[in-house]
Amino acid sequence: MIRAIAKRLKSQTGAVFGMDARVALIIASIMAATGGVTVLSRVERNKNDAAERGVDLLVNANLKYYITTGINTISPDIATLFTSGVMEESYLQQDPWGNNWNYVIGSTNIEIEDVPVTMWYGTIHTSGKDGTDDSVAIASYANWQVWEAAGDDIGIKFSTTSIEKDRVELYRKQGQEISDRLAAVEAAWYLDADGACTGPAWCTSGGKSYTNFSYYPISSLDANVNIQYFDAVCTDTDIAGTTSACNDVTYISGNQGSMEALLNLLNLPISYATDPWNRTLRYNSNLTDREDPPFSAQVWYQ
Amino acid sequence: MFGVLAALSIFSTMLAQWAKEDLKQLQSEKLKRQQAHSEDIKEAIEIAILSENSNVAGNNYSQTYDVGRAQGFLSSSNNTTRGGAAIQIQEVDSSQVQDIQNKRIAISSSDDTFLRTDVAGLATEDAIAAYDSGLDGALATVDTEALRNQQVKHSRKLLEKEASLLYTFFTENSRFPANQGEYDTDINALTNYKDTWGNDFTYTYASDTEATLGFTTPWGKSFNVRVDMN
Repeated sequence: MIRAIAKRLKSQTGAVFGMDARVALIIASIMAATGGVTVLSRVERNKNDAAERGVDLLVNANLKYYITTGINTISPDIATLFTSGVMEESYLQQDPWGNNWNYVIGSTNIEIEDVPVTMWYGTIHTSGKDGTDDSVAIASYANWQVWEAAGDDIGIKFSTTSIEKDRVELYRKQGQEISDRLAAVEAAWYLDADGACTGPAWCTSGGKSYTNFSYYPISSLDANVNIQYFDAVCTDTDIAGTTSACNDVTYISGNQGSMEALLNLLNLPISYATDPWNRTLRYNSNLTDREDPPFSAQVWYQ
Repeated sequence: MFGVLAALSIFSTMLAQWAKEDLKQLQSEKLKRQQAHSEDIKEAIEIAILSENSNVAGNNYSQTYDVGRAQGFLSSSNNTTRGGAAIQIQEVDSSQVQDIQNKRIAISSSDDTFLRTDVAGLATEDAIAAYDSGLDGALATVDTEALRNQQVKHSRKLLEKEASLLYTFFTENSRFPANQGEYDTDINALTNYKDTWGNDFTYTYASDTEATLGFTTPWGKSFNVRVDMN
């Protein structure tokens, strides 16, 4: 009997080790649970982060589409961003939960420094984990202004205003440079004529003295038959040293090639033949329809 | 037992290190987003000012510079901070040029309570500049003086171009336009120039050889060009 009890007591060492194992099991369980919860919450947070990054990428791609492809219109839908090549991350065709993105766009007219522009606006958002769109629908520009992603939705507002502001600056710069160069060419041609006109027959043409000529390059929009353009009467050999200035050309307002030729004459980039909205340059060499000086010219895009 | 404890300690250290790296990365991303957000609000306020136009509903001139104005022109961000708080806009008086009280505006899209308290206490232009540079661009700032000058400069440029056509009119007619109506029809109809706020220039006939063309800013400062053939 005593032997049997002693044997059982001896076997208690196994029980002590069993207790260790149980403690270890409990600790391991807590660690596994903690790790599990951490991993799960991280997976979910990663999805939220991925949604935020996805929205940013889609907005940037859309603005890129506007600058490079749409010019005057943003992408009509999310799919176009992928088919047009501005968006390469094909996994973003749907949100991280496998649902379609919510995409709403609209446009309104504003004036930036008195230059009329069309401003596109929109929102891109995911309905989140629950797949339900909690955000207020956008039916107008006023709605868009106050829009926020609601509930578990993740999204962002976007608009083309920043691009339009840059375009207005570029448009102004182009217009100013063309205007300045026209004035410079006009002045230079007058000085050329003034220096050359001691004898050549062309110095008196159409019943006018060279001092009453218009020194602007000729535009197709001037229908006044009583005006005398220097450009139309002089010849390259009349004016020493300015062989390229006098080229007897009528520049066709609104014609891409002809406007590029005018820009060549003005020593400006031919890209100025169109403005940032892809409108073609127009040129009127006789804005006030006069027959005698002073003459006024005008450039604009349409 | 020792093995379990050792494993636990290694696991805890790894977890702490992981969390630390994670937190650092999150904070860095958060700061970048906040800066981009503040810059977007700044640009929206600038565009709101530059798009003031009396002919576009809701875009009239205003000396209010708040999120309400900015939210109509945001390029790629939302109206509130990431934490859902209001964007913080702190404005102080700066210069007084062209008869308008200009403002220096500090914009923060941070959710940090301490930073928000600091920003709310910025009471001078210099304080805004010093705080911004000290925090390595945590704020975005707008100086309305540059924008108001830009508006006036653009209007004056068009005014001068328009005035040159008055001389052309004089050459042809030996007189200046007799009234605003004749100026509108014979001169402005060709150019359609207006001031930057979309208002027509004001023509004042003094005599056949003397006239004035001008505009008045929405805050009441007048600019005129007098043409005189005497």
